[in-house]
Parts: sequence; C-alpha cells; structure tokens
Amino acid sequence: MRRFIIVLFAAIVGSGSISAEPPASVDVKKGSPQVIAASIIPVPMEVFSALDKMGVMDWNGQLEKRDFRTTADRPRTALLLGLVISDGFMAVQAKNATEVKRIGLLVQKLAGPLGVSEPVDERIKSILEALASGQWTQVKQEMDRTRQTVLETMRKMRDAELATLVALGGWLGGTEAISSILEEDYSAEGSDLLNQTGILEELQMDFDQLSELLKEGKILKKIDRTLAGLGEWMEPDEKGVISLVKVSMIHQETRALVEAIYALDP
Amino acid sequence: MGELVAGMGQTLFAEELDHAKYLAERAAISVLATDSELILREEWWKGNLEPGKAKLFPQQLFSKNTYQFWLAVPDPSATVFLNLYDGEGKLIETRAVDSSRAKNVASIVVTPEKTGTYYLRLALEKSAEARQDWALIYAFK
Repeated sequence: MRRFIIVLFAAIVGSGSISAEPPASVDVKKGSPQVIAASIIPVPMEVFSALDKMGVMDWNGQLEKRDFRTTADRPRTALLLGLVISDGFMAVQAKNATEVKRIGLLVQKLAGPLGVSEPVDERIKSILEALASGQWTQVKQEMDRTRQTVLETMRKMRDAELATLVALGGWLGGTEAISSILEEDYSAEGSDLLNQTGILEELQMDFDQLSELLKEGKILKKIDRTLAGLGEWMEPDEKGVISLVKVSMIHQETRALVEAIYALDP
Repeated sequence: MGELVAGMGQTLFAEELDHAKYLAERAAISVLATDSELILREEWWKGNLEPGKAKLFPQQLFSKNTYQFWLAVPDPSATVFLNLYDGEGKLIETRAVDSSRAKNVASIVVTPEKTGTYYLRLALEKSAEARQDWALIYAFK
C-alpha cells in the first residue's frame, strides 16, 4: 500500500501538479507536463558568444561582403535581410565598426521593399549612436532590437510568412559561419554547438506552415531540401560530438543555400 | 502556434500580459545594471497557466554561455516556479535568483554543459486563485 502511495505521488508530481520541489524528471516525449508549441530561434550572437569562449575567433575572416541586387521577390528579400542581419551580428562580434555601418546600410536597403523602413531606420540610428560611444554590448542589444523590430512589424503587417523567412535567414547565416569556423579549426568541444536538431525541427515546422504558393519558389524548394538533409549531420554521437565530416557537410549545405539566396538565378 | 505567442499581442488579455512582461523586465533590470556583459533578448514569450499545473517550454541552449530566465505573472499573491530539464527530461541544477523579492516572479541562472534542446518547466502554485497569464524573458552572456 505504501509503495502504491509513493508511486501515485510520483505520478501526480510528474504529470504537472505543483509542489515547491520540482520533479526529478519530466516526460518530454509524452508531453507530461504539456510541452508548449513554441518557435524560439536563438539569435546568431548566442552561438557566436559561446564559440568566442573557446578562443580567439577570426570573425572578420568570416565577413565575406557578398554583393546582391534587390528584386521584387519579397521572400528572397526577407531571406537576404535575415542573412545580412546575421552578418551584422558577426561584425559586432568582430568589433568591426566599419562593417557594422556598412551592414546597417544594407539592412536599410532591404527594409524598403519589405515595408519596414521607418522602424528600421530608427534602430539603425540607435546602433550608430552606440557605435559612436564604443558601447559594444549596447550595439549587440540594438542589433537584436533591430531584428525583433523587423519581425514584429512584419507580423503586425500580416506578413508573418516573411517574418519566418527573416528568422530562417538569420539562423542560416549564423550556422554557415559557425560550421565554417569549426571546419577550419575543428574541435570536438566546439562541434557541440552545432547540435541544433531541436531548432531544425522548429524551422521545419515553421516552413511547413508557409503557403503552398510561397513554397513553390525555387529558393524555397531548396530550403526545404536543405533543412530536411541537415538533421542527419547535426545529430551528435553518443559522446555528444559531431564529427569533422558532419561539420563539413553542414558547412557545404548551408553555404550552398546562402549562395543560392544571394544569386539572382539560383 | 498554439497558445504561445512570441512577443505579439494576439490573445484577449494583452494588458495583463504586458504587465507580466513589465514585472519580468523590472526584475531583470537590477541584474542587467550590475552585469554589463549580459544581453537581454528582445523577443519574449507569453501564455497562460492554470493553478496547480505546469507546462514545458522548449529552449535551445549553447554550452559555455550563461543564461538567466525570468518568469512573471501579474497577480502579486500568486507563486510561480521555474525549473530547467535537459533533452531527456532530467532536472538540471540551476541557481535561483530572488532579484525582485516577489513570489510572482521567478528567475534562474544556468551555464549548460552541453548544447541542445532544454525544457523550462513553468508552474503556478495550486492555491493561486485564477489562471495567470505569464511572460518569459531571458538574457545571456
């Protein structure tokens, strides 16, 4: 009887009822307690910050200064904006004021066709002010604020699908950079940062919710294929390590996608 | 996207939700003021909780980084709990921070050993009088 009571108590606690002491475990697979369907894509500077703690990184070397032309293709423009914002985070990590300013102009260039010029201009102004006073933490904060302003403005304008693509572009740019650095200077410890299968699943779910019409585009089809293929390479082994071969594959796949987005005729 | 909304007012209780966010941010400010390396994410999340119930909130964390989370609900007499579990559902040791001295705001700090998906367990005490809308924010360094 006593054992039954203990088991019953454990079941109640594990199922989501509350006591001051949290349960030692929860069943995340069965969703007990309920797992909230959330879409939480970290900003690139989170993973950049983690990588920085492993040594001095050549962030400037990762800034490729790719050129692009804007077109009437809004989904591509949204993806480009995400990629450029990701470059912005990298320039901040490199503490490269010249690049931050250049990227600020690119963000403004892309914000126009997406109808988010006004709030973005305000944010860029704040970035420049923080730059002028050399407050790099503030610059990072303003960069995140810029990204969030873009996403929120788009959602308010009923452009949630484009907001999804901006977030996706940002993640893609960050992942390409991290995999490039790790490919050049591989460490088992660093490879752990590419264990992003959870984010990948979220991105795939967000992608699946896009309209079929939107997904018919050439770039979007390529994104679909790339996201589906990356899961295999982001899966760590039993020691939590992602091999150099897998890191290289992640870099190859993400780079090809980034280049396709930048190219006018992918 | 279910009941969760990422930083956008799409529920019926936007005013109260904003208040929860305000409480979370107010608690965060005192920490941010003393730690210039800590970066508060602009994005925030909200939903609601029943008294005596918990929910899990998935979150990607990167090893080496230090994260601080704040969970708040509007009712000052309600008590919220915030805990972290790994991808397998095992409780992770975190440091609780009482920066607001309010029961309706909970905060924890963690430096994860491994990168991956973690789950924040958001819970509202059973004796709370009504459902509470919550707001969650986090900072990292």
